[in-house]
Amino acid sequence: MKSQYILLATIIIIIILSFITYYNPSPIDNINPNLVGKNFEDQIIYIYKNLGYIYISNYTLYFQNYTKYINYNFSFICISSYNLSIQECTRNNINCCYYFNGYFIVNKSILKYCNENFILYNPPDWICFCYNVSSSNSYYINFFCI
Amino acid sequence: MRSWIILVELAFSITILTFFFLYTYYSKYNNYNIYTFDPNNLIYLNSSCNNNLYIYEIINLTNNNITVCYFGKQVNSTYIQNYKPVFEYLYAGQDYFDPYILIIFK
Repeated sequence: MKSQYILLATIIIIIILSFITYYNPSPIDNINPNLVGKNFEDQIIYIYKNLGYIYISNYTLYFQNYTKYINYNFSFICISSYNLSIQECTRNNINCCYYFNGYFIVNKSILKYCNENFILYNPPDWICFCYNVSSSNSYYINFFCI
Repeated sequence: MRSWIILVELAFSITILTFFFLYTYYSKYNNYNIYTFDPNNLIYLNSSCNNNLYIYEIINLTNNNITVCYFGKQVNSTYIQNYKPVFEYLYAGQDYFDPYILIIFK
């Protein structure tokens, strides 16, 4: 009689575990901060090469909304010799403001997440991003210049 | 004697069920390998449903239009509700700026 109860309980546990495996509530099992970050980086480069830098600001807005929608945290720091008209670019904030005076020293205190020190000279055209994508249990940080 | 037989049967069935459970669990995750999808090759998928290799959904962010393509034909979104999304990407556009989200189902 006792072992019959054990058998019944085992069957119920197996059924419950099977349901959990088959009907996993997360929207996409294998999406991760690395992939989301590469998505951002590749598309910024694509826009610059094929569509024109004026659309970069617009894309960052769409990307921020998209990452909110999939429950990811996304933030970036951007420095550029173009005026990209990114919303966060106000007063003392260096986010994609237009730099034109000789040279500009970038250090890690400016980039927040990225451990980079370098000097950008005027007038070549450059756009640099340091971005941070994070989910509840992992994150991805990267720095790139176009 | 009878209770011994029941216990042996129980142990046997638990072992079989555990193996079955582990097999389905891992085979499921191996099939959904996201790195098999290359975003550069998938940029040509568009809302005209002219690709018959994939089940995909395109959400156009400019006009919020949603298009669902099932192996080359346009279908209603309820048609693919039993499929799972395996790849997701936010494209900026193809020839001009027209951002859209691509979701591939399997």
